[in-house]
Amino acid sequence: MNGPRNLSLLYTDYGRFHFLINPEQAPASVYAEHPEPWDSGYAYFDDKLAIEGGEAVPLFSLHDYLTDLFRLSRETQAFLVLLVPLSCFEKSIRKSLRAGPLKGEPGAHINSFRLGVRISSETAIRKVPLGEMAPHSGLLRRRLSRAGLLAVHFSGESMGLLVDLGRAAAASLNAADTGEAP
Amino acid sequence: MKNEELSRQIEEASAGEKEAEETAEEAVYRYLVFRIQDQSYALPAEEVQEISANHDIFYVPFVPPYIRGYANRHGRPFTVFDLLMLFESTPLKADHLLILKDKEDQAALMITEVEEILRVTPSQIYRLSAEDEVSRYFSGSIKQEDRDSIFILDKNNIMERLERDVERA
Repeated sequence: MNGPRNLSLLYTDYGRFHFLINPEQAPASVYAEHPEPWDSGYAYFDDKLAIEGGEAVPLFSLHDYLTDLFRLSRETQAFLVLLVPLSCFEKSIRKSLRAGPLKGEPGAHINSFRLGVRISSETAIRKVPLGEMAPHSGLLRRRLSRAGLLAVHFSGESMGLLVDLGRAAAASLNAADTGEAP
Repeated sequence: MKNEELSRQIEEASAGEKEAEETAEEAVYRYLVFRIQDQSYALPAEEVQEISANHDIFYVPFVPPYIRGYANRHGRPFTVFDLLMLFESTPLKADHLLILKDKEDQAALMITEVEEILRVTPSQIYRLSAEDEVSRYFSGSIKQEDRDSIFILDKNNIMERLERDVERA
């Protein structure tokens, strides 16, 4: 007999809220920062690029973005950086971040088909029963999914959100471009 | 005649009889009356699933200010409407939720308290003459002897407002 199906998700606890990430979305981590400063012009993108496989990759701070969006404390100082391949859905990231030659470094390019995503180091893999995940209520579903908040998970006194990394980064850029930054 | 056809004819005949009963003796509808701050409102009883108290409401981004967030009902998120915020741009302080019955959505209204269930005849329901912004959220009003009029909320128009606002956000 099949038991309840469990999902293995990256789980970061912020007290009243928790955030869940599908680890398959970010199969690799990034360890090195590019030594030169880089100005993306956007609030939640670092002023340093990450270096991965000899290429420069923009760094999005999901931690800062979500803590601002949900009005949470930013106590965490230690981070992990996940490397996320971007789908065609995230065209706005490429457009906004001006992918192309890296200024001052002949031959070096910013690869905006991949994104470094900074998350709290207090993140661990946790098994979550599929039946505990719920879709958004009907009227909000489309809007929240577009913003990268895909589904809801209640656990005790906390509400969790399953986050799509690329869509969340794109939403932060769109919000900045339209003057609706959190 | 096949049994399916026979059943259909029996159902149709039965519905016709029921209709006749209702026209011979004026129909009676049940409305749930509740208060939002100092104002009473009504909803058809069949549009209300349950009333619950002391709910945590979780903030949700990208929604208009009259959406206070999500309430957890048996692991499912219910969108919580603050109608005082929608009508008067003032946040309601209340801890009761009216969970609405809706096939398409999971929604709840913040309310101050439930008052009663009223039995209302069609002759006691009046259409609203005003056509301002707020009047769109009411399907009519109930007027009974020796009491003030009670506005009947139009759940569908309130939902449609949210649908429009969310798409614009």
